[in-house]
Amino acid sequence: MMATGLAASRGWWEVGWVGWVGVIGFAATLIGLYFTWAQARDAKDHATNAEVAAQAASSAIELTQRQLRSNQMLILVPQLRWIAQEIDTSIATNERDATRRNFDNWRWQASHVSGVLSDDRPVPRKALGALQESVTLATEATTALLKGEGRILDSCEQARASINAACNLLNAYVGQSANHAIPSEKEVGP
Amino acid sequence: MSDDENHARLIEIARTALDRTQAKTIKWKTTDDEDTFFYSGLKTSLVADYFPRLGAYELRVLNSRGTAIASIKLEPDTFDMSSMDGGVDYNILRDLHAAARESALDIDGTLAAALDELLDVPPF
Repeated sequence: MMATGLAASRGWWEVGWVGWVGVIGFAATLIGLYFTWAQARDAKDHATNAEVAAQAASSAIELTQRQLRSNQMLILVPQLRWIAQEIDTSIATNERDATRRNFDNWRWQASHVSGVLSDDRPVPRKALGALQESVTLATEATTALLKGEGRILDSCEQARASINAACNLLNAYVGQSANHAIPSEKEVGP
Repeated sequence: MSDDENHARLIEIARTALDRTQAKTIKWKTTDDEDTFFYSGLKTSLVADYFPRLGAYELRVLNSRGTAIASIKLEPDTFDMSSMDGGVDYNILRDLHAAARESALDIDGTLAAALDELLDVPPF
């Protein structure tokens, strides 16, 4: 204030040392402000970069998980299909014990597949529902096979149909998920 | 969990399933046994069963492996044979079985179709 007042009334060569201290202080404040602003800008840039990196890492993890799930399903679904064929064979040859064992194998394997599928997003409700339905009917058929003595097919016709329906749905799901497991351009980046 | 708590929980499940079935928000399905019906979710299933020789009703809860993790089976109250009422919990299981059967077999729809067919028969 004093320096400004002095400068207004006299030439700059007439300003005393007290006035110069004020002028230099003002300049130093401006420089300090500039450095503070530059640091804040750098910090913001770093934060944005960190956010982008975190997002990329998250996408990469998700993609890897999807690929692992897809690979697992490529192995598990043919196994389910094979068990379904074994069930059909044991029913056709009227082998009670073998049919019961095959239903038990189906339940075991189907629950494994169900566990893998339930981690997928969005949750494949149709496939999970079909698997749960087949597992329920396989359990009921196993109990009926233990009790009954008639024709095997009469005790497990619905279980067999439900297992085949689940296999068909899962085949379609595997095809779809194999496509989704391939990263898009957006996921890979430019 | 004690037996009483387990029983209470299963009755609660049965009551909820009965409400949902009557509201037609869940659909039951048939099995190869004509007295057994099931509702399956994504990871669990309910099985409603009837044992004609005992007059007993059963509700089983199955996990994703098909193992019955809990079940409740009730027979009519033998001390009160004069009444049709077999006990409150028994009645819930009985009503649930009836509702499950109605849902699985689409009894409403079939009866309506039967009536329509009768009314549509041309006169002799």
